[in-house]
Amino acid sequence: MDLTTLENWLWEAACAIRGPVDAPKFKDYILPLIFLKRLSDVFEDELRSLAVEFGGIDVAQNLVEQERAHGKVTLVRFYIPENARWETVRRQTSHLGEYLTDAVRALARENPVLAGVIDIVDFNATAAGQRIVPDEYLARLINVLSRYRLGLGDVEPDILGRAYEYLLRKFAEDQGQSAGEFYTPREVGVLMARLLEPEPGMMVYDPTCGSGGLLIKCHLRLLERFGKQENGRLKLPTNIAPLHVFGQEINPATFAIARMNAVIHDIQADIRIGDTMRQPAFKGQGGGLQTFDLVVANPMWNQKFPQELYKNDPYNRFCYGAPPSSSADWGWLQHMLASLNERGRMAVVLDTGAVSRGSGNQGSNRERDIRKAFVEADLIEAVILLPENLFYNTTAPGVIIVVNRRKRYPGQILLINASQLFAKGRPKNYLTEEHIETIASIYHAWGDPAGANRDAPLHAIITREEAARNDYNLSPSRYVSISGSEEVLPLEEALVRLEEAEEERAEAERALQAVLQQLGLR
Amino acid sequence: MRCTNPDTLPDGYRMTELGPLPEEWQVVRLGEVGKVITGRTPPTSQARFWNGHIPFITPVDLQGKPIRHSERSITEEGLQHAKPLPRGAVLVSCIGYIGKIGIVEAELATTNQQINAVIPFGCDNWFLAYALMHETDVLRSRARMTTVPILHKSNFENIPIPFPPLTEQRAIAHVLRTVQAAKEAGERVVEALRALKKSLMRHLFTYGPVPIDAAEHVPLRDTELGPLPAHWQVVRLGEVAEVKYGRAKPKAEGEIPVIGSGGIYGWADAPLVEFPTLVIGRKGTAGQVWLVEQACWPSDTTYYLIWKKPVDVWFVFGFVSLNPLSGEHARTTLPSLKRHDLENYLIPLPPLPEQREIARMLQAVDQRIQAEEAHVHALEALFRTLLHELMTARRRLPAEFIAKFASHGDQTLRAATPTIEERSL
Repeated sequence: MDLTTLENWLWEAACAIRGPVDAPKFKDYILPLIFLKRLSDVFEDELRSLAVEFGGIDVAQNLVEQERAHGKVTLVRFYIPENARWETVRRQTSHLGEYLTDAVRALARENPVLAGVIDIVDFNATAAGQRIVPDEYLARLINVLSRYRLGLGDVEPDILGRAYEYLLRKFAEDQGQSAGEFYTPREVGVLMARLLEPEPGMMVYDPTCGSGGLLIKCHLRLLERFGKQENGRLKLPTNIAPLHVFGQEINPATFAIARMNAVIHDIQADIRIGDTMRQPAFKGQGGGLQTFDLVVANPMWNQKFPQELYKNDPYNRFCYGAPPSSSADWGWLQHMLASLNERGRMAVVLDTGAVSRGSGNQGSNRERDIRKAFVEADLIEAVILLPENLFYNTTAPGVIIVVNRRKRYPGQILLINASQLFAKGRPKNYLTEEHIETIASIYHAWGDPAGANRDAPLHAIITREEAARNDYNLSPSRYVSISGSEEVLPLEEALVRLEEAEEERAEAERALQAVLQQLGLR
Repeated sequence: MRCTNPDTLPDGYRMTELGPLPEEWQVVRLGEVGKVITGRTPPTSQARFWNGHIPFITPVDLQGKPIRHSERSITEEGLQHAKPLPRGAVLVSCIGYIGKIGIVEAELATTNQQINAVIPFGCDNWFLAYALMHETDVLRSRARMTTVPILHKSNFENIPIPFPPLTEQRAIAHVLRTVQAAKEAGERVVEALRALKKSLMRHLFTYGPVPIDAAEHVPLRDTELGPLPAHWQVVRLGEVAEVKYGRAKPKAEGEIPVIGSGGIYGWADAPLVEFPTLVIGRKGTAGQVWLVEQACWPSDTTYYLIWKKPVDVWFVFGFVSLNPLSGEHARTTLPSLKRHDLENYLIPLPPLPEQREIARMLQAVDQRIQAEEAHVHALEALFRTLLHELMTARRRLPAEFIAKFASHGDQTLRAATPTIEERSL
């Protein structure tokens, strides 16, 4: 299924429930049903290939039913009970809400791993005595969703991620209700996986995993490198250990999608729900945080947390200093650093201000000071400036910060200015395969391997001394200037800087009032 | 405690060369309380001495604040040819512009020969910096006023300094530093607001007055001015306004401001223009734009605009400030702006209500900036007053306040005011 077909299809699905359901909630009903259909279609595919193997669909069905009666199904990945199979669901004409809810519960009973994943939506739910989604709307939705097969040979496994991205982009953001829900553009996720280049068996962690997109990109990259074609699909050979992925997500609906996503991709995922900053879910021995080989993340930029959170942290994560209340960027980086093992690496997307705020101010600045500590501890390996208007919900450009506990080139930092590497799109610009390749190869070769940009290099390699001389401003545009145009801050970034200045002023004012009071002047 | 009558000394005061001071205060020579080091510049011909990690401080870096880094820097090798200074050294410019003050906050720094550094012993370095700041006039009066004023090291070492007991020095420095920190924090707010205004202007002049997350849904079209909302026009300034030459300032003086290319430079008794307009520098500061809302007299070095269509003058002003006329439109050998170029200057033209909305948003930021600037000025005045009163002991700090600064006694205070820097070497 190509992207346009998918989008048109989802658009129609959304139209089917428009009215009783608000636009930002479309995905909460559509995605679980797409998931159910995928499971059902894959089950059918598996039965069919068993039929070829054992000589007949009835034989195959019998074998599976026998296995099920013994309580252990191995011939198919998930056993779909009769009432949850799409063909049955589709034929249902009355009491559809009740029927669907029962069906997904039965499915979860058969497959404990799907409990809390497939059965989270109550299709029969009421509000003030009224059905939220009346049966005739559900019937319409099921009718639209029945149009395409979602089997193994029909669609790529990332269907759910793509559908999630589309529904979020199309319906959530217009409403101004998308706060806290972000989606990292697919190509940015691919680029991050290319930078991290996961190795077999690695443990990968995303503390703000959303629908799990970045973790899955890591899995797909491993598959791309080591996978072998099998029945027209890439599979990891048995001697290549898959990744172990770990994620935490604060939003229950998105959390459920992350788990569905993991199921569809057949990856070993431990996804937990909750607030990572306040209650990190993954703990190691001795009460500290569990550590991982890789961290990949796109935390909400410039998130606001109260100072108490940093000051009273039981995990001792913020040892390089508390970030200002106006932006948690360097709080997140410290959480992630604390989650990296002694040879761990991470790639994190943040706003451009994260690498420049506070540099050049003569006064003290907490973000600059934390950044300085990271540079002095020789943790920052690379910073990549991305083009503008790439990210969901903002036109501001972002940066990818690469941290490496064991830097390949100690004392050096690679800065890549990729601000001009984009294809123009409306509403959003995007990176092409070629752009991703260019950036990843500069990073891995620690320079311009093909010499393609010899006249106007996209990168610079700086020493720690050079970083110090620039007061720890690591903004790639400062070292690699691409166009002569004057830099204007993105509006969001300008606002964060104002909030930071106001927070500092409030502190200075409090100190002043205290002194004036002691002098009897107030 | 105040000295109201200069003829009678208050109790516990004595007359000194610096005026009446408390009996427990001394007057010392700068050379007695600190080692003075005149800076030196490593040979600029040697590239290997330059662009290292050691700040090389020149008078432009002296802003009365702690200095962590400077515009120029030298290498370890360059340091062999310079004078190393430790953290906490007090810096004073003594050639050219005399009496600019700074304090080294970097671990290691150097200065050029225009600066004398004082490495204090037995006194508080911030106190010393403020005392010198208070003595700017004395510093200047002792300089040799040749074409380039210069204050030699020996004269500098001879400057008299009021010298209270160490604990009181620290207390005074703490008070002044706190006021200054508040002022600096206010300055950073102003800076941040200016940057915000610029970002806001770019947003408004690209997408129109829409929320940020709606920006990507605004239909845009490519124009000579870059992408703009599809329903906006692009027009020549000459299409919306008649560009008129200003006139020579009339003889009679009055209350009407005369606007030249550099701003108000005189007063006239009658207006030439009685509507809000833009006055644009033709000669002198060519391309400089002034928004004038009251009746005025644009001088003969300027142009002014008579509007032909209803436009919001603040809107046009905002666009012109973001895209200065001095660019390609005024790039001639003579620093003058041609009327033809001004008429051909392109501006975006949204529907009038949108122009007004944009203008209103920009004015709101401007008002906030002005309020913040007023706040900063008030703190500057407070600082100046306190500096004078505390250095002349016209106002003494309460004894219990000073007591907190007895050695090691300032720990709690410092914790409460994290912006206060380490004060002793």
